[in-house]
Amino acid sequence: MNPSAQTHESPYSLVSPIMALDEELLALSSADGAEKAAQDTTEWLCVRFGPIGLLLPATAGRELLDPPPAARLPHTPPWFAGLANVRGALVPMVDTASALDVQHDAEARRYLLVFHHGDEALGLIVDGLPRRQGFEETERLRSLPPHPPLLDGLLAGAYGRSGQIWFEIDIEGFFRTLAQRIAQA
Amino acid sequence: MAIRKVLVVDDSATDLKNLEQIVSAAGYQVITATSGESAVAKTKSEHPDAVMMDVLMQGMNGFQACRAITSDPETKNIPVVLVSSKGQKTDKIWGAEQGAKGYVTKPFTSEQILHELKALG
Repeated sequence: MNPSAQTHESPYSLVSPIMALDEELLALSSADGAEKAAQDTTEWLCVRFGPIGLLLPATAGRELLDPPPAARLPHTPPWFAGLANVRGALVPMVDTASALDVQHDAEARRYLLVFHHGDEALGLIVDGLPRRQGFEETERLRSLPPHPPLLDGLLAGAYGRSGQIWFEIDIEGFFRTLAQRIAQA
Repeated sequence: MAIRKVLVVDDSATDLKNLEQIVSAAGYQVITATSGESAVAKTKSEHPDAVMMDVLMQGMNGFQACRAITSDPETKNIPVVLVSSKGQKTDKIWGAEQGAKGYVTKPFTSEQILHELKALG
């Protein structure tokens, strides 16, 4: 969990290049036709945390902010960045890359992606701009690639595109997992 | 497509009236909604030619409503302009990512509002 303990050998920092060479990443077949491809396309909100790409429902995400200052709380995990004041509402901020035990993409600008509102509001620090993208069934990987332990049991599948693995995640389950980890700290 | 009927959305009665007056005075037919949820419903029931929508609203906010409108096959061709006091570059980028065709920052002038509408038509 300690970011300073991260090394280049971290398995997750190498996920993308490794998987780029894996045959699983290759398109399984050419599209049967434009019409079928359109039918088989699912749109997602794609967010990245270092080398980890997550696919969220296209309707996820209430707003995107430049990460505001946060007040840290005692007895919370290092990846819990604290509480931010967003127009008078307190929003818990999670440094998701740190929670996943991976390093941020140093080249990418960071944003705070806020989900829900009121008492259920939660912000995840993401690397780069979240994008809405469609993935075709032909891009779906046959097996689940290596992933951070924190995501165990939360992944429904994965897609590969241009050397990047995108994991389909149960985002509400992920929020519950984070809340449990914070409560246990 | 020429813009004739405009759906104006704001949960502030004052801001809604102000925007409604600007748009109707320019000759557009105006219908109104006071929440993101009702805005999404009215795009389906009223078939406006354009939507001018506040962002900061309780419940479904303008970003979410814009995304719902622009991703629904029935309403995806209805252009949405977001009108908000949130004026950061990040807000405009996020608005565009949700499918908004324009973004006006509050406080606005009537010229800014009408310019955005004309740009849609």
